[in-house]
Amino acid sequence: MPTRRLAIVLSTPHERGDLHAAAAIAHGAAALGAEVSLFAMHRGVHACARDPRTLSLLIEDGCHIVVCATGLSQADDAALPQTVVRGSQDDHAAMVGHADKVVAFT
Amino acid sequence: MTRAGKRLLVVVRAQDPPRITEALRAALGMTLRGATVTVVTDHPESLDIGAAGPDAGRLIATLRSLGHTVQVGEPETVDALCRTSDAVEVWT
Repeated sequence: MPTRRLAIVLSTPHERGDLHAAAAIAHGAAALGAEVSLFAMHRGVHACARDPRTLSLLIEDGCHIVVCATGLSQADDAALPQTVVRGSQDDHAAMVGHADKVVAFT
Repeated sequence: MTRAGKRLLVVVRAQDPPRITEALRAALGMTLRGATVTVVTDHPESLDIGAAGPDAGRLIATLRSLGHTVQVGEPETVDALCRTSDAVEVWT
């Protein structure tokens, strides 16, 4: 069976709690053998920076995480795990373009 | 390899200018790998430069100059576009 690809887009602020929902979906998909990627932009970047533990667990589970570096503050950059890629909208396009399914928390 | 030719939809439900601008920036970003992107909103003021700001205006102009659609639509239009798109991002 071909590998299924799931892309998750996160742009909502920390207060919405969407990173935890995204993480639950990502872990569930990974458990089923899917390739999971997550792209964070705008307020989603800070939401990720506030919860590096969740990101690290996702990465340990094989999730590829990219944050949009546009507007990335020094504080958020320092808080994010080094294994999180500092990327761009091209990564957003690539993830959405490659994915079989997209879940957007936007 | 990117599957070019995907139809992507960005629904703008946000009403504050910074958020509208980010939705449009995301839409433009998603054009980078060959997808056809449509931006739709049922709030006309979201696409009004006077209300959304000059950054939004530039992004709208760029999307249109690249051949992508940016439009105001009734809810039925938004629903129809959702059904025919390969992926949808709803920006609130």
